[in-house]
Amino acid sequence: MSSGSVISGKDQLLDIVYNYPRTEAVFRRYEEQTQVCLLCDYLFCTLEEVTRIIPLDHEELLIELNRAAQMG
Amino acid sequence: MSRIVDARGLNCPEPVIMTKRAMDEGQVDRLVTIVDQTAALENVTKLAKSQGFEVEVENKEGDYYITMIRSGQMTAEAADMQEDVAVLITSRYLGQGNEELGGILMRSFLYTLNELSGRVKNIIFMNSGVFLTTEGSEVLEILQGLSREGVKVLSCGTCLDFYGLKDKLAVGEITNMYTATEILSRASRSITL
Repeated sequence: MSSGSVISGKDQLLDIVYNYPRTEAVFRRYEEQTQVCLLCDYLFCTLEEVTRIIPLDHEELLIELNRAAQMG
Repeated sequence: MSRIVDARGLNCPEPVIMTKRAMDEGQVDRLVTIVDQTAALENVTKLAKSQGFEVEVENKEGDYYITMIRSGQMTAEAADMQEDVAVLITSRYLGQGNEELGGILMRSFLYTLNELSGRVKNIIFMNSGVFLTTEGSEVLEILQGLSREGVKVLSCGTCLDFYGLKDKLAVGEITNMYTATEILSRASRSITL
């Protein structure tokens, strides 16, 4: 996790969208790409767990989530 | 303090977030979240259990009323009744070996299921197990008794077709693999014979 990041791979998807509502839009974009309902089926998984199961760019996702989280 | 969260019409994760927010606001001993989607039902239930709540679900005309009570406040009897046991029977005989013995054992097992009063919610019959739910079965009376007590007796449609028994079903209803899998995966415990 780089300095200034508030979200890490060990965070659960539920905690991410709960604490940083703007991150929901990021997940929705990835859901469209993957055709998987991340926020239905993986809500209690960590980002690391999700990206082990579903072919997602873990680093790219983290960057986008942190960017969304820091938008306030 | 009690709270009601009406999350009908909302997609995941909104029902879960609303429920979590209600829990985090503190001093909530009893919370009822209403949802109309099974994904929301599963996720809210999972959240509640992870936060130390005991859960009771009621289906009212397609909506799920999820009652969550802080652990320790549900009575032992109510907690006992929450257990949802599903039984999967894959053969007309219990065990391998002598078929006569297997038939006796199966009859004895089904009779003993009555002892788990209130906890067995579903019994699913597959493969040659469907011979137990059709005309001529020696355990029809037992299964009809369980059905009258509210236990769902379900027979695999594919299996009934295979054995030419579809028009001979004598107790319960026909089910499919999707429903059977869903029942087994959502049960608090499952028993497979």
